[in-house]
Amino acid sequence: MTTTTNTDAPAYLVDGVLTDVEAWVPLQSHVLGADATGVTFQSSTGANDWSQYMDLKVIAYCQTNTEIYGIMRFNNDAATNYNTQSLKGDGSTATASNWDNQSQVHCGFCTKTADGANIFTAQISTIFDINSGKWKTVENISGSDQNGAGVVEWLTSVWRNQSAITEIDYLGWTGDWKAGSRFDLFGILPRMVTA
Amino acid sequence: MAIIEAIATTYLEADAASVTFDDIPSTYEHLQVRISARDVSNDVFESVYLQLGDTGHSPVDTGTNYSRCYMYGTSSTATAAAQTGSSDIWLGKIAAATSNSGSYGSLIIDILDYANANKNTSVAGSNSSGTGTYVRLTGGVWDDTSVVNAVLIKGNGNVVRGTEMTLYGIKSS
Repeated sequence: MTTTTNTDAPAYLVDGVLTDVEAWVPLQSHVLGADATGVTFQSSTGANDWSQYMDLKVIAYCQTNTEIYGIMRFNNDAATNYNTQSLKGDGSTATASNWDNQSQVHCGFCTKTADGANIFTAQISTIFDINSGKWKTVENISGSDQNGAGVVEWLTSVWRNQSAITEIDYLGWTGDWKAGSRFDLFGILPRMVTA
Repeated sequence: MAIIEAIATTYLEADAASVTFDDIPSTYEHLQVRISARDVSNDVFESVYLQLGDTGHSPVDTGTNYSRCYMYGTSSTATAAAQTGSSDIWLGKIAAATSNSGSYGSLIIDILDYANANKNTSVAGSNSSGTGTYVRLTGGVWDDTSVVNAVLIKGNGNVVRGTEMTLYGIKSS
């Protein structure tokens, strides 16, 4: 796995003065050279210190070997502290589903190798107000077209915890992520300069 | 040059009927508003709305000049609907007073080509109630070709202290 982490000094600080800069900051990337059970993003130092961001965004382009869902956990919490609401289309039918007291955020249906070796799924997740004392709300969109079939899904989850988020584990539900999958994390800044 | 810039952030230190971003410069291609919000109304979740303005409206157009089309999922029910001749764009629902005090809804609203004076302004929004029970996508139109310079977000009741909204400008290059 190739991992890159942006620990540069935050660009919005210039000679000790707050300035307006790019609001989306690339923080970490994982690109799998071999199958893996999951990837982990962790807050660290410099630009990758998550305490300075309002929201986080994860962009995943991924495939699993046997299973169907991408999942996410925060701060190593695998207890049943997550609720999810889904709105899904499979090419002919729109359905809604709700799952309470889950042990993970559902990030959407993900293609598996048997669907086609080169068919990957796009999953984009936004985690809101990660440093607040609020329960943490997540929005996920997942598109997994299979050349005539497939699933598009819009999901929301809530992590019933008021802690700041400092770690994200992104996993296949029970299977592995396949080699070639990649996962990119971005931090989204608020306005840094008072108008 | 930054491609995505934070134009303004509002963090409510007291309940408020609405949040307005006014005097928006027309130097971007698109706008995006990102929201974490909660409503005071006595319900699990409550509706949240958008209105737009220009120099001819102060600060926003409150006339029946909006249309909206949406789909949402709650529990095991998927619903799609649309309305025209509305006085706002109904974006979805956010957590309210009878949900857990930690619950805040979220929204991402994209306002496309807002500075083009030859097009009506189209909006795409995604929404989570923050309760894990309601998810929604909305498309909306303001039937006006004016250059947008104001964006107003309002709840059904007041939005509460702790609500946070940031307006971003997106450049093409």
